[in-house]
Amino acid sequence: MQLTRKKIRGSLGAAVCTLLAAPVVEGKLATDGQWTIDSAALLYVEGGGRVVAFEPVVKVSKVYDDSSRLDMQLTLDSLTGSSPNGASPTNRVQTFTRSSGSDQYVAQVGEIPLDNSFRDQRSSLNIHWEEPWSRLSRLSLGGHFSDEFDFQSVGVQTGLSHDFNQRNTTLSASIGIEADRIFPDGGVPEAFSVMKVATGDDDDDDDDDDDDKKDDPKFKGDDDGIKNNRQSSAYKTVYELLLGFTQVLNRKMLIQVNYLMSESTGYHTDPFKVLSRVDATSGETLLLENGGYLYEKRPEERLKQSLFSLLKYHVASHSVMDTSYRYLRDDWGVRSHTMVMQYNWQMGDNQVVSPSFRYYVQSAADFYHHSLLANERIPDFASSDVRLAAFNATTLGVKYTLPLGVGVMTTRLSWYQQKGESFPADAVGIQKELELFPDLDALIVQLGYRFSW
Amino acid sequence: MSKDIILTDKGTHFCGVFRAMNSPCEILLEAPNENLASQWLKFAVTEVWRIEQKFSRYLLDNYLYQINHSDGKPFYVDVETAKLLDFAEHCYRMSEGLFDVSSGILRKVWCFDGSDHIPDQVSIAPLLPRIGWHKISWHNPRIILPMGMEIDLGGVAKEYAADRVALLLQSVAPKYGCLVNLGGDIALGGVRCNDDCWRIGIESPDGRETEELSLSAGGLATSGDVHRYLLKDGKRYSHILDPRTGWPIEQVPRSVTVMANSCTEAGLLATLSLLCGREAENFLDQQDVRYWCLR
Repeated sequence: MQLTRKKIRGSLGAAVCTLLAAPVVEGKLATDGQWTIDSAALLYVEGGGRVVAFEPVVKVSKVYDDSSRLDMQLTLDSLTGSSPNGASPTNRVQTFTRSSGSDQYVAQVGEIPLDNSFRDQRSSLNIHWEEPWSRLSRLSLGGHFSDEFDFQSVGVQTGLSHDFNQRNTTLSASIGIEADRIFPDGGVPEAFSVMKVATGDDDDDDDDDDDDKKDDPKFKGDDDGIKNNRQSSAYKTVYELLLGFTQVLNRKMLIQVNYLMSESTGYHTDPFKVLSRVDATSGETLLLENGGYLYEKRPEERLKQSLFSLLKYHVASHSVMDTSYRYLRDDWGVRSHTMVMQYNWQMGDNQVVSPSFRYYVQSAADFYHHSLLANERIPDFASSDVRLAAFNATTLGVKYTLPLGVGVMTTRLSWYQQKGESFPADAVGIQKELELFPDLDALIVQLGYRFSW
Repeated sequence: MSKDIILTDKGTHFCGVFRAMNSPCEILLEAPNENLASQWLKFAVTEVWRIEQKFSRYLLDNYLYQINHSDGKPFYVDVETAKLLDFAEHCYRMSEGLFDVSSGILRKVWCFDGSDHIPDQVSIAPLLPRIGWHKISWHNPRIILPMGMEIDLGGVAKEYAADRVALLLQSVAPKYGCLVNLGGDIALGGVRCNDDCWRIGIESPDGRETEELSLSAGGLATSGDVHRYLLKDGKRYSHILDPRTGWPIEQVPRSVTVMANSCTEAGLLATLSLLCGREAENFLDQQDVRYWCLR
């Protein structure tokens, strides 16, 4: 047969080339990613006429063809109301001087002292970029800037994540650095300096020799001007390391474990918080002019470590149960446990109802004192900030997601309750009759709308 | 026909499984994420189904049906069909009439179901005048099919589809590699990340051993079907018919697999080698290709 002796491959190859060199695409491939806009407004109202916060947030995201992703978030906070100044309630009306030095506010008998001038505006911008680094790994870069009346913060972070095991396992690591600057009205108060009687004007005196007296528990607070000697700003730097592990266990279960270490150095003290000095037997707070209130002092360093684990369980028909636990400890002596459970119940028509429960409990920092005894030596560090006290908090919430128009609307309602040691064992004298850590309730309402275009 | 595409993530690549052209098919493709993989896969499979729909001889009222029912009148074909007809003509000439897209009507009398039902010459002879590419008037883009004649592009459509889809994926995702497998006819596209190869297992003739090939480009095709034959009086009749006589070619290998620069080229070489009967290996040796011949 002729064909068997013929070398046809060259001619065949050429014919195939002609055949396949057709003007290709018949269909059209739409790959351009869409912008997603996520907007929300949150209202936080504390019981007892305390803090009210209003927080609108806009988040804009885009996923590009190569699966790169850009997220930008703008948050505006506006806080008003009364915030505890750290002093203890006592058996008389207490008068305090604002940090500006020229103004006063009072707390009634037995009431927890609140600074009713608490008012702040915060705006912050977060930018996050993520892109494929290789076939199975992703690189992320991020930064934030936030600005308040008396506080600024800027930070950057970068991370890398890698998928293994047919993408069932993901390991990630990221590092971040943040620089904070605090510049309270009236300057940064010197640690353990006494709250001065309001001057009613801006007169200063030049006395600056309080260093020797600082450690003297019996010093009187009449020798220190409020504004002089004060630095206008204080700084803090935070370094963070996050290691993450995510494992798909099976079609229904996913587990995530994160380890976070953060080390901060610099000014951690709250410049607005004071501690009451009380008589060691009567428990009565010393008068303002007798050095009744000392500005607090916290260590210059803090090392925090936390371990977080999350289990996601897909229940039938797209409903998901999330259960997480976080343990945190720091070298200030705070240990905290956070447990969160959320059930996303997928109903018909893409509606989702998500009830959630959160329980938080922490131990006090080593240097937490609800007040200081006037006859005792002032410790190296002391703060009466309730956030460093032992307390527990419960949050009950429900979120409802409803497809609406071109997007999705979400409504969230949460109730928060905080309980601490209202009548601590180390209370003295009249303190035993007073509630030193009143319960706090807050209501959180959030309304959001997300859409793409 | 099932229109399901099942996508799974294999770690280094994604795998899409679907049915087309009466065969199980799969496309392996690299992609940066599942979302894009799914988009590209859908795009690719849609193209396979489009070609199937257009050229399947089993469908009524598709494009091929219209050509085959043009009742002797001139029919002006589109660019894609014209290229396929040009290619068919080239193969007809090159094979000296052995490869003939007009020979499909022999299936009216030959049914390779493993039985001993051998048609007689009386039923075959009337079909022969209706076979022969040279009787068809083809001047791109006009075709005139004499009354009673049909064309069947089944001999190239599947391989063509595989190559085309590989090229399509390559144009959409030039940085990623893909492997298109339409019922055993395989085309590779793009370059794999890290210059990896695709590993393809080829069964040995007895089906017990598997040889693993590492391929990074080109195509692989198999012709022949070990289950399609007739057996009468101890004589095995293969399903490879000589369009010139209407009878099966003798001593045809049961199956031939060829590796070449494209799936279409591999498919044609495999088909032509079967048409060479007992000379199949000789033919393939001339072509300087890797092949696996099962007798």
